Amino acid sequence: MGRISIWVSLAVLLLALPWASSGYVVFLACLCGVNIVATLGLNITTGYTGLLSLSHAGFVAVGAYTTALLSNHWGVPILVCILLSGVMASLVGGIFGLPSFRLKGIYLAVATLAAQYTIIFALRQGGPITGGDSGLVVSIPQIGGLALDTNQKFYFVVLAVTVLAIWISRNLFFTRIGRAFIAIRERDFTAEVFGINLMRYKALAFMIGAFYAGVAGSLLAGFMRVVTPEQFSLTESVFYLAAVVVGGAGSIAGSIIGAVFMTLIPEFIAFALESTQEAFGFRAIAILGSVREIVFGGMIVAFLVFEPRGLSEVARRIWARLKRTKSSSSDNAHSKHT
Amino acid sequence: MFSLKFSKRNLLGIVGAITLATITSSAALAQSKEPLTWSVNLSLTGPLAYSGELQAKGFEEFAEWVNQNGGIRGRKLTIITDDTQYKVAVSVANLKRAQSKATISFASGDGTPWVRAVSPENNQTHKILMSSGSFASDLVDAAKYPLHFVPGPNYTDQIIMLLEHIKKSHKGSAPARVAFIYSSTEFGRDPIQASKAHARQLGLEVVLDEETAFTAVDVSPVVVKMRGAQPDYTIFQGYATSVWPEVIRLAREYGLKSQFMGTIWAMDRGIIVKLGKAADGYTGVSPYTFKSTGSKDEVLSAIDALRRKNDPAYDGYPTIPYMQSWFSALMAKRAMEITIDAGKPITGENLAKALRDLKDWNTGGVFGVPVNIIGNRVPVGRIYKYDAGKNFEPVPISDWITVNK
Amino acid sequence: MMFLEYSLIGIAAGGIYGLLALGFVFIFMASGVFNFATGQMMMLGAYFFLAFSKIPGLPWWAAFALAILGSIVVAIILEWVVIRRLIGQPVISAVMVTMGLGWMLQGTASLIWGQVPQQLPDVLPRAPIFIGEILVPGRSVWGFVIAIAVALASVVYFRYSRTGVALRATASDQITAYSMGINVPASIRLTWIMAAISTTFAGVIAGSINGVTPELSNVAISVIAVVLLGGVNSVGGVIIAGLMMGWLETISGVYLGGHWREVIPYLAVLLVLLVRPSGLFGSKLVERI
Repeated sequence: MGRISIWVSLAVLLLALPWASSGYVVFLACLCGVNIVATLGLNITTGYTGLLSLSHAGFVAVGAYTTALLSNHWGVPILVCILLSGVMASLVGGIFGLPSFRLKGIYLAVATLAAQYTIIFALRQGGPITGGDSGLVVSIPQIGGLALDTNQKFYFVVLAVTVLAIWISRNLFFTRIGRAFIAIRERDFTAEVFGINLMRYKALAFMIGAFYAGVAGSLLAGFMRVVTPEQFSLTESVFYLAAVVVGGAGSIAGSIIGAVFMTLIPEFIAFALESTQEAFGFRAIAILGSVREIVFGGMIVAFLVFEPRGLSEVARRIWARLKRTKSSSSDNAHSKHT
Repeated sequence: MFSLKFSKRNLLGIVGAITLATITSSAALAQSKEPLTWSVNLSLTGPLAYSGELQAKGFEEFAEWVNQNGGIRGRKLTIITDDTQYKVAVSVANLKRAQSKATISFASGDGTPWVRAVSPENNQTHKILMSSGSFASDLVDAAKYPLHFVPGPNYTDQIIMLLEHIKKSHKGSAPARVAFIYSSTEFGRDPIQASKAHARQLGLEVVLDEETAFTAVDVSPVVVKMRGAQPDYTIFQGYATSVWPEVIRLAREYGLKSQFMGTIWAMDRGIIVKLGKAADGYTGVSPYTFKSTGSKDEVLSAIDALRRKNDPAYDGYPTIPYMQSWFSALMAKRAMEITIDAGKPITGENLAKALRDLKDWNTGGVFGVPVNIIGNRVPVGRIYKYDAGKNFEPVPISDWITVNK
Repeated sequence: MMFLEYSLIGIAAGGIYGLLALGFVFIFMASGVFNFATGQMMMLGAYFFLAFSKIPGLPWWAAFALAILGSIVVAIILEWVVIRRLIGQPVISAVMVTMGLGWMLQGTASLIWGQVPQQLPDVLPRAPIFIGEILVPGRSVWGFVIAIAVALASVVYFRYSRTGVALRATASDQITAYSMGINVPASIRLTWIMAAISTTFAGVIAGSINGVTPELSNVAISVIAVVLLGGVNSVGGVIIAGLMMGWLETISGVYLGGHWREVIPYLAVLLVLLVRPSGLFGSKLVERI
């Protein structure tokens, strides 16, 4: 009973968001959605299957630019763009990953590093096609005849795609494919003994993760309306890894918590620094970048050392403790009656 | 399995955000004699931090001056300053955040990527007057950037000024040999094609076209190339505080005699002084007057007074980034004064029109001559030469040049 | 003829790569951890030198010694406080921790010293050196000489000293090393100390040539490519691979364009992965899945 009302109020809040708040909040909400989808993907590759990937931002870039080009040159409607961007990113991922699927994990990690740099290089040197360093301005996303020219309107696309991505991920791990991924992470040698074709499933895990990244990139292109190579640097790849670690590897709720947390932390830091502005002068803003780096790095380290299962585990423990105290107090109530 | 705990957290977060947002948006509804709020986005960190800091100070002291003198037609000036970390996504987010706090009547950014990223939505929806520290050449396109005004001549204008000067002053019968060294960024690459074409048009010989990384570069290969090409003049474009000083130093060690030249962002006196003897004779373009000491002009003397008041060690040179901020702010202020006087509402379109209609505007000493705004910019500048013998005072070696393009 | 000049400059720059790659490889061989914080350790070494050299009256070599000491302290803290705690967790966690640590170091450095490029004191002689008709910048030559000297010293130590033998035993088989009475944890800590020393040398050399900013850490990104090119378990091989990579980067920067420098190491890596994953000099002991 209580559960359903929580879901309903959540749905109402999410749907009412564009009317109830400022453009900035909607902007942040869209950004959270994008990061959730991307983190879900990386979690499949790295969290569930244990393949370290440093190229996630590169695949997001592939998705973003694919959407930009499809939309600008052929006016492809946004939903088709999203799908095609995912496919494109997946293919690119497959190409770069191919040589290393048969090798040990660390080689794949280095291959992903190579992929990250090569993708960004290609985008920067792509001249008139990719817009080079200045990138591309994305034309207004279309659905049917409707132009989604503001963040408020595009928000609903982001919301729908994010919910869909969460739902797909959740069901993925009930299937044979999903269970194979987990088996590979745990003990890949044993997995092979059980008949799991390691190379095939590694490739699948990697490419599905890249697909999600492409979709996320497509959403990003749709609501930022501009794509530039520097938005998708190695730092962003590590950002997504941090989201996986902080939220909790191998957990869907973890991906969501991690992504939202990582997206909003800079805002909180900025807010905190601005509040102390009177004490320090505007220099406070100047240290935002450095503080952000320290906090991100610190979070990866702290969580891996102290709570490898991430915030989702922390949340689970708090919830369990709450349930215990609730049931013990209701026990007391019961005993009083009898 | 979904942990329900997570959804409760999300809920609290969203409720909190909505509450906060409602409060701020209702506050912004009350206007009339409200302060004018500007959003200033600068690279306070990252490779451009050096100029970013000076630019921030420029805006800060401009606001101090304006508010000391009754504000803009009685309305107080408030400036929201944010750090872009030289990242486009961050600067776009900063502008949105500023907009959620107050109605923004003017926005200034750190560079070309910011202008490009913000323009589409701004031109269509928000229509805020814009300026920036970018002097990119394609910003003269009034159709694409109707609301953005460049606070000086663009990079191509500046290099043309240098090339014309080379043509005039080059001694000897052989055509002058010119080298271009620039960074592989948009900032660097922007004017190169047009500049090379113009150079050839003038009969100058382009002997080197060298693109390098933006920072942390080993400049040895570049100088080796210079040694092979033997340019008489070497023009830098697209760097902040590194790479070009190292090229100068290494080239001098190699015994190369080329004359070094730069555009606005490669003219900083602080860096030249640090280079010492190697930088003697360095020549470049500055749109603005260099020194404020002893000025009788309205704005320049105000700058001088403020700088002396706030910085006991002030040496008379406000620095180019500082002046650039002042001029961008001055443009916005003038546009707002004209618009308010005409009884029109302060919108980007009205402000832009006010600027375009300006004729022979006396800028109070920032520029040495009255200026007009042509193609969304002020195509006026002067060539200065640093003289080691005069304690690196930038000596003007040309008149105030207006480029008509 | 200019080609020769470029080649020499490139190989000289590669000295730094060889040194950094060594730091990488020592740690990897002893504990299987890819230290993604190598670049930041290098940057920190350079900043320590900058900071200590500002102390009035302190001769530069004392400042340098202090810088090395500082780096060693940081490395020991990194290894003891954090990496130790991760024994038992999959190696991927340790690798990600080094990434996080690297980020923290970089953020801290930019907080303390800012992001504007700074000049190190002129320790390496600047005068260009003539080799026949060819002119090579002084700092490049001296940087190369020092880098190679330190690298070779490390290799000799690794090969022939008693501690070196213990290290090699730990590297090839931890469990057997334990049973032979070798103090494995101490050996691992030693590799971190050796990495601290080599990265400080590399950092000061690189900082002298390029200027010091927190971005200096990025020099080490291509070191991962160098290590793979040389072979993750070949100490001598990665030094040679470093020189090759330095040469390749400079030549491609000159003839293809400056923007190629960043991507060329990784294109080389992709090629290596396709053709010879164990690297040019590594043993064929590349584990397949």
